[in-house]
Amino acid sequence: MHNCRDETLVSRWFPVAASTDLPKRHVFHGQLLGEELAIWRSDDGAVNAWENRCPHRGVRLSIGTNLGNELKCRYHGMQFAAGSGQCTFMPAHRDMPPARALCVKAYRCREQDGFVWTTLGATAAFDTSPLSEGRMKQLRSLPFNASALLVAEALTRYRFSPTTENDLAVAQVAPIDAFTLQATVKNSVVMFLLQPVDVDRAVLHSVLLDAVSPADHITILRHHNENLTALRRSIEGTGARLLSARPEGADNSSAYRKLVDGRVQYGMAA
Amino acid sequence: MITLYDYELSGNCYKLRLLMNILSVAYQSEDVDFYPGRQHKSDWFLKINPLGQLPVLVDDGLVLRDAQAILVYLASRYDTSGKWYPRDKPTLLGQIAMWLAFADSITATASAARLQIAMFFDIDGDKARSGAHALFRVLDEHLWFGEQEGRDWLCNGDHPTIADIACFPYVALSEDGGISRQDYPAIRRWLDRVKRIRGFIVMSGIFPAAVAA
Repeated sequence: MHNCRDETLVSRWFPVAASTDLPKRHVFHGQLLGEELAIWRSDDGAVNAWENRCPHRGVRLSIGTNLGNELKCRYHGMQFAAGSGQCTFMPAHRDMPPARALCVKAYRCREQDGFVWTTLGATAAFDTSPLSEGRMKQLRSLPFNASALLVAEALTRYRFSPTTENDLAVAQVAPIDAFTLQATVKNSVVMFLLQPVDVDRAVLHSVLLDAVSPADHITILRHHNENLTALRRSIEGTGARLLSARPEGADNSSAYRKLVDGRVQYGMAA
Repeated sequence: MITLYDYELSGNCYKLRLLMNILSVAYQSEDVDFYPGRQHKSDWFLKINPLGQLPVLVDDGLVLRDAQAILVYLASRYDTSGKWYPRDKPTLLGQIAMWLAFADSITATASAARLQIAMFFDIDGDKARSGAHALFRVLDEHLWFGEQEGRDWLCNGDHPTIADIACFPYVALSEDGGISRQDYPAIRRWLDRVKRIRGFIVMSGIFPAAVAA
């Protein structure tokens, strides 16, 4: 599942959760470019995006316990410090300082504009968030059983309507880059941010900017959720056919070819 | 004394143990060896439940089968707060009945997938998993909008109901059946909330949540 990983993607920052996905003492189960993540907020409010794997016996940390300042593995009770990921306590060796090597891989992450952002790379500075202007309304993030490429392609055919029923004002969605798309209509802007989960899955994060609508908050959220889940149904139908058509050996399917080429393009465009 | 015909690894038996513990109702368990013994299909058990299914609850001469029906009975009879099955609130009763039926669908899919993987039942596991994912999408969306509207539970109001107890076990056990909950963040948060209900107990495969206070 790692053929979507190239250096350009690895060094890019992606949204991997909404801020509201991380209530107190919760551990969120996320994934980016095939890498599973345990994402959690310590009691001081800081966010952590960790490799979802205990360095002791490999158990997923997303089933662990958020103790407030440490994450405790479900299996042998090892505790790992917020921030560094360093093991601070081993129940079976309570008088020994844990080895320095006993450390969870902590990815760089930060919280901004309603999202938790992370990168698998070690060097790239956090880009300016594309969301930092104007009033924001976060829509429901939707997981897709389809590649980010397929979702991005389908979004360019999506008709964005900012408000609810009987609204004839719709806009085409245009790509800004391989993982960011935008549409503007009647002073409303929608930004779509794609999180490549792995080669066959993506999460679509959506934000309305400067949305002015007489409809109430929940009505607007439901309106966009309905439209985007309809989009998902149409894409996943296509995606499922593509996947079932995936050949064992040589491949002459143009649709599948396009998928593969698209993965290559990710690196070029991102 | 209430008798529960019980199997340790059954989510449908567990939901009754869970509610009885929350309501501080005393009972005794009569162990039925569901797997590998198949005692639920034995002559003696078929006399108790001709459907050959667990759980069965016997109380004061009343013999009840079907986990959801038993939840209705237990809450109606033993919940002095009247909040787990509010008999005077038609809206809530309708919502509860809807989610009790949903719990049966979860049993037919997520539980079936677990039986196929963990207990080697002759079941179409892929079909069961795909059915469970379709239900979990509906559930996650409902719970996400609940959070937006300030509702923590499946039904309206600020208190959990037997609907939450009915749906909880086989969602929480889904990974035993190969059904990941990674795509359902609102479900994962709701599982934490259920686990923080006063009187919550675990079963094999279900872990407690961190204390959030």
